[in-house]
Amino acid sequence: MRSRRLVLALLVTTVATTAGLVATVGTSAAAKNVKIKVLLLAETKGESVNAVQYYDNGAKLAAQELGASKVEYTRIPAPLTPAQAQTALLQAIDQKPDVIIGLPASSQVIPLSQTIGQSNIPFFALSTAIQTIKSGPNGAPNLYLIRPLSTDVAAAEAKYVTKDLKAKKIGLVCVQNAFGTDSCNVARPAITAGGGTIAVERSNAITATDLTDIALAMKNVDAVLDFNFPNPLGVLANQLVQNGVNVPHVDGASAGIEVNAKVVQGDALKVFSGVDDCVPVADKSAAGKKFNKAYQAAYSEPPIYSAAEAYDMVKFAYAAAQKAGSTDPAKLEAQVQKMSYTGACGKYKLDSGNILLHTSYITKWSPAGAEKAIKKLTFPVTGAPGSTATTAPTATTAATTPATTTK
Amino acid sequence: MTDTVVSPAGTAPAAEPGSGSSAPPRFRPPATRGSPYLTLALVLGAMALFRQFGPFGVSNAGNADLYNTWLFYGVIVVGFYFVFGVSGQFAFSQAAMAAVGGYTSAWATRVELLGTDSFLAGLAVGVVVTAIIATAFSFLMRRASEFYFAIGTLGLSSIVLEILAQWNDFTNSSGDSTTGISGIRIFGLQVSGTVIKHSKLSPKGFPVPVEPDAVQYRVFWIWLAAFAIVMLMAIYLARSPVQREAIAGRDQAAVAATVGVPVFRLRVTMFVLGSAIAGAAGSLFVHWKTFASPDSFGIDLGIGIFVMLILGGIDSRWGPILGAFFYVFIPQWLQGGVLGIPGPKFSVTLQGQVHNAGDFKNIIFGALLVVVMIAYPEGLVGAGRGVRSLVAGVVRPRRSTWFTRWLNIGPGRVPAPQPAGAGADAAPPALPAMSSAAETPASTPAPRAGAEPVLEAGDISVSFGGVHAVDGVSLTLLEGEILGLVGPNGSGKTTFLNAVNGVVAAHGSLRVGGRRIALGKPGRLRREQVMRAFQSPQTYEDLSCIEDVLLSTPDRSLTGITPAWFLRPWVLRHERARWANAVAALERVGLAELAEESTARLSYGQRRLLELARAMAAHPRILLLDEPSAGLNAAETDNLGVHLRALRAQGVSILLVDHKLDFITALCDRVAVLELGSLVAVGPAATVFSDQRVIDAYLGLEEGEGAHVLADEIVSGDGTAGAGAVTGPEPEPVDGGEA
Amino acid sequence: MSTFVALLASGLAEGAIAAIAAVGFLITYKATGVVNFAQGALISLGAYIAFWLTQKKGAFGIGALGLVPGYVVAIVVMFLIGMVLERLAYAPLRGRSVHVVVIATLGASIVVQAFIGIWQGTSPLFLGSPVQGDIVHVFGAAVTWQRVLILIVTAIVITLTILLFQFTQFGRQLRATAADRDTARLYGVPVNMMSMLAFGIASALAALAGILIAPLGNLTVDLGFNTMLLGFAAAVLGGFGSLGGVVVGGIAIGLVEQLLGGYMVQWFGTGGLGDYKSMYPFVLMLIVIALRPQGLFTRGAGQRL
Repeated sequence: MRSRRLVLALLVTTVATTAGLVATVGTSAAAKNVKIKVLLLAETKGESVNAVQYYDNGAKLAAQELGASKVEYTRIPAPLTPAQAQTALLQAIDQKPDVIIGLPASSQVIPLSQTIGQSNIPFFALSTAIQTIKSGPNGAPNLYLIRPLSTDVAAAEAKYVTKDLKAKKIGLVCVQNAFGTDSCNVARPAITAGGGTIAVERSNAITATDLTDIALAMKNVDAVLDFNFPNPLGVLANQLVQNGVNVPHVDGASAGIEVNAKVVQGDALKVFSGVDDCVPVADKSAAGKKFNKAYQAAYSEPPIYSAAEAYDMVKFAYAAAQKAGSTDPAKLEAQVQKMSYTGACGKYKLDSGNILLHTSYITKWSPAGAEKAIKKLTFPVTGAPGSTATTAPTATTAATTPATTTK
Repeated sequence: MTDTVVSPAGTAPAAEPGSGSSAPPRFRPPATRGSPYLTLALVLGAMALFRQFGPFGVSNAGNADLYNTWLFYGVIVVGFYFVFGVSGQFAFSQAAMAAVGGYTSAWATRVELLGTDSFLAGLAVGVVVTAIIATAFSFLMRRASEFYFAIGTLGLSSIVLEILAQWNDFTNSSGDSTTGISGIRIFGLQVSGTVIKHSKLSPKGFPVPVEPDAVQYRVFWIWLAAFAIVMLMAIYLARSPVQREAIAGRDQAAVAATVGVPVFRLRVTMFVLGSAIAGAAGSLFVHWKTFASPDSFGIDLGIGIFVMLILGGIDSRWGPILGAFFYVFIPQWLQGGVLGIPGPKFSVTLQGQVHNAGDFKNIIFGALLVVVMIAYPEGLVGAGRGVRSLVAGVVRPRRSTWFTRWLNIGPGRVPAPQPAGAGADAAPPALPAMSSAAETPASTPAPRAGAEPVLEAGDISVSFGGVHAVDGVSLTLLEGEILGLVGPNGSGKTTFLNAVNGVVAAHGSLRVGGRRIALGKPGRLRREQVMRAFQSPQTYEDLSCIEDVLLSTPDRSLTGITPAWFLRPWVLRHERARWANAVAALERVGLAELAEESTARLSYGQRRLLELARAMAAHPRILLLDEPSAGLNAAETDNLGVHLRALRAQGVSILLVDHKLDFITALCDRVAVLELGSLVAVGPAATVFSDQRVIDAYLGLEEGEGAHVLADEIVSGDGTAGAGAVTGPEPEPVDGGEA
Repeated sequence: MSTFVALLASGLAEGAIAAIAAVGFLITYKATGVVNFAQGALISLGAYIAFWLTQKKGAFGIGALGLVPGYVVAIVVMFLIGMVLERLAYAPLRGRSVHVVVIATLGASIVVQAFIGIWQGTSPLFLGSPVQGDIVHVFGAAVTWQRVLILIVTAIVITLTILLFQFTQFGRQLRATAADRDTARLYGVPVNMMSMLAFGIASALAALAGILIAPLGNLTVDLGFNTMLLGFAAAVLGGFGSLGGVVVGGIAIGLVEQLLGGYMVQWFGTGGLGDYKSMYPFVLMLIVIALRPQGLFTRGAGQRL
């Protein structure tokens, strides 16, 4: 039953996407097929406590659509622990793939950037840390960042809160890890630049289960700008509303996870918003719609941006190989450098920091949990004014969380 | 331990039955026997060869990384073998200790501190800090029982992980991973991290990371060396007094304390040693990786270390590396193959999600843990032993280990006679005649007038939850006398001995040789040359007879771990002397021929004699004996009497609790009678046993063998005591073994 | 004032969570002498079963149960699972030392957690509650009904458990079984049934704990393990084995973490000692083990461990 539906969907989408590919990539692909060996370095559901299925699902879908004659797809699970991820990375390199996609967490990519650099294999990472841009301390020429930098997103969010929401007194919450610390470091000046003031600043542990004290401290703010992890984010969203703090609560990519898990609903959801690289379920573009349909048919669940990105990257790599006419790393990378590709998650174009995607969306949800994009955020390419990566990033710094500004 | 384990009786080196009786065999301490170094060298060589020429060779960095990870786990689990395997401490903290060592070392080698070129100094700092924390924790937990200790280690792990997640100045990160840790550099060779390359363009040089293949290759030798070092540590400890004393403290702490083993100190030592090894491994690990994250050392690894040791085999130093092999390679194999062996082709579709064999690795490990423990408590090492004896064609009785007994599974005690298959020619006599019996004067000396008191117990009281088991008993033992202590079951005799001995909490005063001694300090009493033998013989099944006797050695010099490693020639010299002394004690009780046998193979009576030998080997001034004749037949009891008289002739004062009144009457200079925790009478046997109070209190209830000494008419009342008096243990609340 | 009340309420609720997590393993401990390290996994499993039953598709496609019926069924199912667990994992080990069972529980814990990961996945889920989002105002502080509910249910459960152990035939038989299995059998106590019931009740309580705790945040696989660690701390403070003590122990750790920790943040700001508040319970636990290994609230040696 399911398999028949799957086959049908595949048929439809293969035809459709091939057409789409031809349109975007141009004519050179038609001449000769260069088979490419793609390796995904990510865990899937059930392999560990933190694993999600989206990367594998998305990449596998793209590989199936292209077919075995064009893409050889393998996956090696990379646990979150960097040391174990390194073992997986070395195993991946040993398999001599043409392209590696993966390492979902910045905390995996940062320590492993040396190994990635030494491998000389084009590596499309899901890292969003500023340290991993090409000129950063943990960057490498062959390390490409699929997603926009979390610091760019943080600056844009601060701008959104001060300019679009016109909030003056802002409560800032930073989760106690690199993401939270770095994001807050960027958000602070951005808030001031936008004309707002930081009324309260608090931080919480990744494992926190009760954030009553933070909720109480946010009594008099106009908006809460939150850089948090899924579980404490959900707790805080609910406790804010319970304590009468009914002001906009803006968070990043964790927001979608909490809404999908139905942790945030009702009143808390009304004031809740997040940031996603793209919103495949609500995407009106041809590529987005196609992907959404194929994904739902294959896996009977709505896709999220990470599935779309993994899907796009497999197709992107294939397209680059066709253009290059070879899977030789140098030729392949030359194409990656200059290629422009529009996939399910939008337009990918490499900048000088080795970042591919330059857009994100502030999103909100209907009471039923349907995601919609509220505002498109466009990030300057690395080096241009406004990019957080303009000033050369320094080595991983010790946390510089300042003391709170209120009693 | 494995050094001293003797294969079936037929091959026991000491048991040359023909010659043994006339000339006592010459013993070589097992500490000097066997060739563990050769075995270790062969294994290490095999590992190196496999690394070099095995199915993955040098070029495959992924497999090489696994190989190194295997050795990392191996080292850390050898540390845990000291903590749990040898010393029996239920701990989950090993992974947290590795984190402490690793992060401290990473901190110390920062540019602004020791500098990045100071790997060895950083390692030392990491180990020292880990050892300090482990020592402090051990002292905090000194009163914790087994499971409290376990829960305490879980708490410690949580605390360490929380600190590492929060204290960013120390970890040099912002809560996730620390990067840029200096690499390993030993004797000028950069193993991991970066090397400075010079070129014409940049004569000052620029840093270039060491190639992954080179890192994996070089670090393998570092890990192999680390593994060799911890294995040598294990071998040296096994061949020194430390291991037998740690085992004694593990199996019966109270008994070990009374014979003079510093139980608490050994527990702390072993915990700190294991933790420091973890710290060293953690330090090597982070400098190898050049990055660190707290989740590399999470509670899962703490539990994983447990799994590795139990899977590999808990009672052998080879268990850890075997267990680690399975822990590292089996999941990889399930995930699609490793070392050139393809993984199982197996997948299940659950709720629309395809699951391959690798997804089930945790389920398999959890289930293996249960199954191994139920069916094969000796672990993989045990399986290996089984194969070895199969190959050798020897029918090998399944070994009972401390772990199987602790779990109360497995074959348990081997019955007293030699096990089947030992062969008639090899079976030593069940209880050899005592060679010294004829030479010992059998006269009964009169109590010496004006003898000095050697042990004065004043107003001793013990109560258990409101019941006064001993209620203000004052008793004095004179120099060179045998004082009998009798009384009906439950009258408090054993409790009194326990109180004097310090294994139960008691009130009162105690003087030994005129010096005041605090109650409740068994080790202190031991130093005053007071020895104790227990009511039911307390011997150590994991030790050979001679090791059991060695526990009570009066010469305690060089018994720590430092001399065991660094002063081995001197330790051996002392060991030889101790061995001679222990052999002499065994000879006196006629157990010399069984010296190499496990005490598990002794009969009940032989265990009693072994305990006596242990007490005698200490050259005590005062001997406290609790029913030494229980379970002995008439001839054996007579032999015992001969021995006690001989000891008395040497000036040893003996306090003797017993039920056999004829034995007491024949032997004792004076007799004291306890009833319901109070002293009823003290004096020469004849006087005491004709005392009407004694007859009423004690003999009236007693139907034991002694009753015939007195007239039949006194036997009246409800006669409840009966059998217990003859066969041994009476149900008194505390016996040393349980405290 | 409202800050104090709010933090106090958080502390009390956390204490109740620790206590209700602890009651389950204390019952197994009292009945069999075993510290069940799988209790944490059972807490997660109970919550996941409740989630499974109340989802749109429901269990085996039977459709969603209402929240409360779903909870009840989940507790009953866990009761049965506990009885089966006793037959599978404990009964074969009977007569062996408690240690073998303890290590078996470690193995069982690994198996159950891995099973949940494969069965329900590992992304965070959410278990609803009938009082979801409801709040009550106490002295100006907003307290969620879920936390109040946890306090109430914990109080009821512990009272009932104490009554059950002290005053019923069943409780006496259970205690007799724990004290001396063979003698109890001679006196006609159905000892096998007793330990099955003990495991059943402990598992049902694990499910109850999971169902109550999960709606406070996300439902994840390690929910139970983290809760169990707190439960251990509470039980140690209360003197392992004392049901009344575990309540006081739980409240002590809850107040230390939430109330003291909350004020530490207020006083010293972020970056100070307040950041470490989640380790306060364990520090307290270590101090108690060091100074009063028999627990804060028991006399005598409460450690037949």
